[in-house]
Amino acid sequence: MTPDEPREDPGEEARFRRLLAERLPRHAAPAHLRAAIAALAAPPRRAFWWAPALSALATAMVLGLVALPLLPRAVEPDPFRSMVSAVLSQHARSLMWGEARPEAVPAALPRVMEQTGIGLSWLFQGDDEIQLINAEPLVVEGRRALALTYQDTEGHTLTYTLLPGAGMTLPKQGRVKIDGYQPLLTQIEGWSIFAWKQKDLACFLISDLVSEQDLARFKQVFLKVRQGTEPPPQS
Amino acid sequence: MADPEFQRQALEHLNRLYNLAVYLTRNGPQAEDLVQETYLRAFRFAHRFQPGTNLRAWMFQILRNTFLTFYRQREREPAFLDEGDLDTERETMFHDAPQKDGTALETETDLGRAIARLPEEFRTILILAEVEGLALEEVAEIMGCPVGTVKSRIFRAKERLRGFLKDYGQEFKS
Repeated sequence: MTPDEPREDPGEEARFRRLLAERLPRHAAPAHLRAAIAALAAPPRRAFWWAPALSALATAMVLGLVALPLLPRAVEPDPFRSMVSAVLSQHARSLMWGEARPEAVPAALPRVMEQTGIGLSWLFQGDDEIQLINAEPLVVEGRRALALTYQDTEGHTLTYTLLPGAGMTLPKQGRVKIDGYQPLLTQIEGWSIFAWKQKDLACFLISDLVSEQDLARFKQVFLKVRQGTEPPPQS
Repeated sequence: MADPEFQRQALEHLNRLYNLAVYLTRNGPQAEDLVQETYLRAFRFAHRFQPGTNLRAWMFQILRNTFLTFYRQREREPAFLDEGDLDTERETMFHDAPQKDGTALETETDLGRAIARLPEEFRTILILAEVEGLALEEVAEIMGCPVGTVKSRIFRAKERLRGFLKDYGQEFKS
């Protein structure tokens, strides 16, 4: 033990350990939990524990859309917020039903770029810490979008969505400075979201990295994605 | 998806993982959700586990990371506590009171309440080292910190427990 480390009376420590061992109950896993986990091993993939919440959210969004025309319009819709909501919904959908097919991504990318009209000269294809596992075309707010899904070594899923950014203004509030870039960083419903514009593209990077420690990692991922992606020269 | 042998070995640690999950969430159903999510991730990313390394520590790491990602933001608990940051008022966790359906698993002893008042960093280390009996090196691997930090946190956790138990009119006696 170094001089800086705390010292403790050995007898006191023994009493403490005995106290914990005797008075703190150990909770054994219920049988139904063991059975449920055994069932997890077999495909198809089970829903996440928050799947009911997402289903409820989706239902609420549908009901909201139905009721929306009946409500008096007090404010003009904000294109940026609408896009954020839309890409968040796509991210949730990707988490629940998306497939990890890293081996198929290289072959799929040219087709997806052609379908979306978003051709990239370069894109971040992953490294030792994060893997590109899917690429798919989407329609976000009526615009064709390209969605790239990554997974890091701890199992966090990140969605990188690019779509034409005409008419979308990035709010100044919430901007952060990262290595010369100034993306907007926000947190909504437990998700962290980077938003930025690159040439004429609107870009969104979403993950569940929300704690202080995780945000530092998320910023590193942003840098990799931002620096590794290059749209073609503007016409 | 993981091979059957990996799944069998992973399931050997179920009781320990569930026990920690209960002390972290203090809620039976949420502890079950947390453990299920842990196994889901472990099976899904089994190919990233290096055979011959510590599977138990790897599983505990996944459980803790999942808890921190999905649960702690609800608790509004600070990610890191300074040395002198002993705020005894900040003891309210989610599901602090037992649920009406009796599913909360909080031990209603003074010691149980005192453990629940500890910050997550201290609580997890204490449960792993003193209740589960894991070696300090393994606890350090799970927590991603040096062994010296583990020792220091155990010491500080005990100090806080003593203070909490005094609040309840108890002393640290066996």
